[in-house]
Amino acid sequence: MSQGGYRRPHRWAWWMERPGYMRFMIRELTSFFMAGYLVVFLVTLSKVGAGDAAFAEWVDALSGPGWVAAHVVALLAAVWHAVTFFGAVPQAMPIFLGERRLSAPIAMIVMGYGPWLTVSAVVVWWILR
Amino acid sequence: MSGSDGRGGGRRARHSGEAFWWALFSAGGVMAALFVPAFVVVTGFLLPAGDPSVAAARAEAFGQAVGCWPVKIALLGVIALSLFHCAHRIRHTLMDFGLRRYSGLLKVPCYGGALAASLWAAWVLWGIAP
Repeated sequence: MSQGGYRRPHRWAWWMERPGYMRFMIRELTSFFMAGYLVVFLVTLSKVGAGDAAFAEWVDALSGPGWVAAHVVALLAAVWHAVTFFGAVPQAMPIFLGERRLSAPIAMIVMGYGPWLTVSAVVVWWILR
Repeated sequence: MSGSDGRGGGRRARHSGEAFWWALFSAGGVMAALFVPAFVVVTGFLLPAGDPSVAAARAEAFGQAVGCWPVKIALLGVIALSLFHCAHRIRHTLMDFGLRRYSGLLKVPCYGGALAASLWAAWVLWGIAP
């Protein structure tokens, strides 16, 4: 090949070679499920706009076993995305207080789990109140 | 290092679209992590309550929240950024699965899909009566 030089041959199943690669790929696949879920969320919003009867009918459909199972998968994907995302915060965005670097667990709580818990609690409280 | 005097004579920063997508990607990652799990709990497990009167009250609370303008604007931001985050990762995952040759072409369905869904979100949110 005249351009690019040597390229390491790249099997499509390269991610099955090591557990670390597998974890990476599982994390990447959460994005497919989250994108699918966002479409479901948009449909839900469009049903609110379509009126009370359309929304009630849609919510009724959501209580079916298929949709509940899909939501369980979506929840696992979304939680796994959040956990791995917040887990990377201390490396990706180190916070310094003067000369001292904020320790990893504290950075994860301040920059990740704390806001996540707050947002989730507010959303759930609003619906259940 | 000579020539790096910042007057364009030396090394010039290479501008590519990647930086822009990267910024959308990280902001979207935060938004998706903070909001999507709660959204899933709401549409999957709280709205479909078994009891009809409970379900009606929750539907009312949901409609009330998504009908007010500050929430609509916030939702549009959260949804659009999350969509671009997913689009970016889906594109790179497809590239990792052997479609690297088509990395340019994949931008069309991935970012185009995210843009289309974001426009749909704007239209849907606009149409919700307060």
